[in-house]
Amino acid sequence: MEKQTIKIELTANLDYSALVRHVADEVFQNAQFSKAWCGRLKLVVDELFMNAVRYGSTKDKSLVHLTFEYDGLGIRFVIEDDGSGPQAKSAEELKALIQRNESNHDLTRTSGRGLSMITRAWTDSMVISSSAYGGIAMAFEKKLENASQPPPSLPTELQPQPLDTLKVTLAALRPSPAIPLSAPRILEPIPAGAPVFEVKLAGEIDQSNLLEKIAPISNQVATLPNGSILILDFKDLTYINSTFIGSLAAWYKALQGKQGRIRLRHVNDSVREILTLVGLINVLEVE
Amino acid sequence: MPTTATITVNSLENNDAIRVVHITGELDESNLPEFERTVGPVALDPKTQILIFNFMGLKFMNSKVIGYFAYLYTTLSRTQRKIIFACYNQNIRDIITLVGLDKVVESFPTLEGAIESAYRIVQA
Repeated sequence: MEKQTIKIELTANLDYSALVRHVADEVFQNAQFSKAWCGRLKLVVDELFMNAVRYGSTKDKSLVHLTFEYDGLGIRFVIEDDGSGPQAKSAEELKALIQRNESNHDLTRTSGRGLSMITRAWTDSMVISSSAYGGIAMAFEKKLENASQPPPSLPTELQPQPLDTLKVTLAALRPSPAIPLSAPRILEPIPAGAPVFEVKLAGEIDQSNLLEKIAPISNQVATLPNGSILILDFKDLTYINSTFIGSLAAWYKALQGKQGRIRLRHVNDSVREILTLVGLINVLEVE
Repeated sequence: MPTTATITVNSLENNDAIRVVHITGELDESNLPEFERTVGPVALDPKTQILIFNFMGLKFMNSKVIGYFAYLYTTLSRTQRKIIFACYNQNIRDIITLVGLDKVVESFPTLEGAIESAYRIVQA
């Protein structure tokens, strides 16, 4: 098959999403991709078009430029915007954002999957660079030989962590006597003379800084004397991910083994919400 | 060529505890607000214990729509309610599996299976 090139310029408006998907589907079929892979690559194009229109363009004024190239070996797709959108980012800023989203394993997050998860999983490569039109150029390639069934799974570090696993871990812990979710919990006083250790946490704890944040606490927990009370002060903590929650459960269990306790202080609403969702709110002492 | 979807909601045997949202067509960011306006009040109604989404006629959805389902899952879970998926095609299954939503939301190949499960949950 000779190399084919299709170039399209569209006014920046998400109402054209369905048209873009339709064209993409036709191109991928002509490029000999299977029906399943046409569907996957169509979704990738949709995600990139949505990103270019929503963030890199001025609605109804900018033009978005799409290029499909295909031959008998595979497909290359490029989309470019003019960078005039109020939330436009440079290529480097967008790469950094995608990297942050890649380390977010929260299954219930409401955004941040399109470029970091879907595009990465279903393409052979994705390149983000500056565009001659003033904004960003995003390009992906997919070879036919790599488009077999089933689709490649995500790299291990990107695979979502099943909540079931965490629930099993939590179920194995010995919770305090059952307490209704809605009832305010009356905390046991800290015994006089008990060794108390307080650790303050700040900012966001995600995959990028997890080890740096938890290692000192894990080390401290391992060396605490029997009967210790560990107080984690969350006053300046704004975000925790699921792996950190797993660490909380591990510290709780380790302290239980030493007849000790763990108490959380100054827990904000979003962190409290996560603790409630996974059931830890009923296990840990939360002030 | 705007994205179009038809969304209908019905209750089972006048039992508002179980409601079924039937979706046909395509869902993306351009018609997500319309979808939210239809589904939101049903999800927020405390009478709704189980919200079944029948994807039999759904041909496409993107990450923005996945984000909304994640929001619905979280919102209903807070009050021990749940959402259930039924009858999705390969494309929809691909994205739901890829993002891991299948690990937290129960899915059934048939609407009948989803409804049976919902009745068991409500009657338990």
